[in-house]
Amino acid sequence: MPSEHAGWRSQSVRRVALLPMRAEALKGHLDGLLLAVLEAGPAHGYAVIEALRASSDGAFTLPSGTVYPALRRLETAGLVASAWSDVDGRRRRTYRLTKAGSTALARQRESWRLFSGAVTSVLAGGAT
Amino acid sequence: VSTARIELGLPAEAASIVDDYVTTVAAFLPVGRRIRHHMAAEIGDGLACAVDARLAHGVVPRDAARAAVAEFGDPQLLASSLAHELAPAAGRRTGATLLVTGPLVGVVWVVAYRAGSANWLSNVAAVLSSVPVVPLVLLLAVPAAVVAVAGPYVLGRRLTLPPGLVPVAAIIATSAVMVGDATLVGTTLIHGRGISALIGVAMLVSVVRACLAAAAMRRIVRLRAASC
Repeated sequence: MPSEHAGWRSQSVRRVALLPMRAEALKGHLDGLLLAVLEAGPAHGYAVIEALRASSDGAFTLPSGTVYPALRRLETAGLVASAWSDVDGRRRRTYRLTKAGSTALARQRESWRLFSGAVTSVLAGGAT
Repeated sequence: VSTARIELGLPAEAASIVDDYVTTVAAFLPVGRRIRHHMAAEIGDGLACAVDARLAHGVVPRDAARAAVAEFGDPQLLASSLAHELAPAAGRRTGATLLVTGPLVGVVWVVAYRAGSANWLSNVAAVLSSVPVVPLVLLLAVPAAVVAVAGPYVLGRRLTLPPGLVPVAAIIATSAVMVGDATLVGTTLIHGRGISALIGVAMLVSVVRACLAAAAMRRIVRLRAASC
């Protein structure tokens, strides 16, 4: 039935729109997002995940396991530094932004501003 | 690796589930004990936070732990992603170690030859000419080690580098060093140049360095193999 089919499609589209973004969709942006979260102050891995989720209104709900390798990558690149502490009897690794990380974040912001501006312009039909 | 029950302070029902997950991640990580312990502690802390958040909302411990490990995803995939990120770090460390120890090993050999003869410079030249592999090894190992240490930061600013460059450069550098050390020791033994105590020390230093290079290369190769 066409009407039922149309109804199913619109429901499906709504459901997809409400789904959290998948890790693949954030590929290429995750490092910048993590740096932005850490700009607010040092945080441990799970706090970074929670901050990312909260500041994106739940849109960026990644498998938490995705974030730990990314934090290692940023540390190897010298963009974040980590330190261990004991919290309630647990060993906890806390990450903070380095000077190089701040510079990289500023560069990413500028790059995103130009990119998103261009995409918005094209999608809005301004490039005709 | 089994740390969750003791260090995370979770209820027993949750602790066993978290512990299993952390143990699985650690088992798939081909790294040394220290790094494995660090990774297990960090993942365990993250899982404990995820469990705590659910317990605070009244979820029973077993369900809270199951939801937490589901949130973290496939443990083998997590270990694989961690291995992918740990390989460049291991390659960089190995490259830096080779660049620091290389001149020291060279100095030990030169001093050993100097003590053996007044005409030490010609002896060193004779070694280099009789073991033509050594200059070739230097030509290969030094640039490879430099690329492993500084490649992404220097070349990466101008060029798009292949993602596995650092580990591969470190593998090339360690292979070259092993060949160089084995050739030096082997040639010295074969030529029988009157092996003095200092020459013996130089040979020992080369053997130790070659063994450490082999261990480092094995680690990097295993990390690359475990990477996704």
